[in-house]
Amino acid sequence: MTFVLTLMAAAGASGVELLEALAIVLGVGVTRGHRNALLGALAGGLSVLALCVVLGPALRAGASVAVIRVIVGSLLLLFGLEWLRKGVLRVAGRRGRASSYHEFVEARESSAALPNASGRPDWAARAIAFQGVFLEGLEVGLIVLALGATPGHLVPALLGAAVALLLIAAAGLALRRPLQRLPETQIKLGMGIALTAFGTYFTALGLDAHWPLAELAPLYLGALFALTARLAIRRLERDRPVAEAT
Amino acid sequence: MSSLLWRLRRKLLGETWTIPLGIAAALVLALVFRALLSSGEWQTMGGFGLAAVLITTLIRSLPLERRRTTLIRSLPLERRRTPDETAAAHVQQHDPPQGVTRCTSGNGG
Repeated sequence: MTFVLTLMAAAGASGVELLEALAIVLGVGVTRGHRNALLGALAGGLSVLALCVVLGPALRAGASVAVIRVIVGSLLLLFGLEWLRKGVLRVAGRRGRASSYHEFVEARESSAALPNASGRPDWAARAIAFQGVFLEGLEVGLIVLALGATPGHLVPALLGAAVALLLIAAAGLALRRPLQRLPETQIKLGMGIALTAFGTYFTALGLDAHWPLAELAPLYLGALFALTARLAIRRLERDRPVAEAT
Repeated sequence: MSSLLWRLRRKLLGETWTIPLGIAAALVLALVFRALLSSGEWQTMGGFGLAAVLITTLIRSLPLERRRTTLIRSLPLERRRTPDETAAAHVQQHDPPQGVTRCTSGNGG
């Protein structure tokens, strides 16, 4: 059961971040050429991979399982709670919806504004693609490292990330434009709930607390955070018309 | 470069300090309670206590309370009274000072 939950969390969280990276690469590609965009993206991806290769073993080296669980849990909470906060604000209409298409347009506009680099390597365009892939990829890398750092979770975490990477790369190659019809806001909110549930679960285990139903705890913790998010959204939505009327 | 670092900080720590500080507070509180409670009590309740602190952190990071303040500030001036002003207004309305005739319905006759 934990295998499936970890795999789904890794695939979902990696998927939404990779969608944003893909949108930036496509945005640069359509204005400055796909070769420049791909070179920048490749450099960004390799930098993230190098960081993960260094950080992964460092996270495990010399630390007890309890300490690793606390570090991993805190890392997941850092990402999960932030995604949850943004998701609540987006669903309640207090913030713009998550949109890869928006990222695509922004990247396209900022690369179109760059000076023309005819005959020379387009370093500016490559830098935009690099930055996009590095930043989004770093988040993916840290989430996968965190999910896979505890014993028995590495395989499903890597598998989930690989599935997401393959799907997003295939979609990018096939469509050559960002996916517009995905409910990204809801997916990100769901991933925020999943990461927060896993973060709470691992942190408490690392601090020697026990969960009823053991490995099924992320499920009811997820339900608890989902209920909190639902109540917060309702409260924010209820306040909204009053504010607009005054 | 500074733009990259700024975006990196926002990616890793988020847009608000409430969440990183809340997580740090949750960890400190967990360590304190683990030391204070018996082993059995901590093992049974510790996880739920941690979850409660994290839920509080999430709620604090949302603009729920700030929204109320904004609403009060955006109300018309006559509705922005302190409790003392409200009480004084109430007294004045029901027990006007001597020499002041309260306007009531009818012709005052």
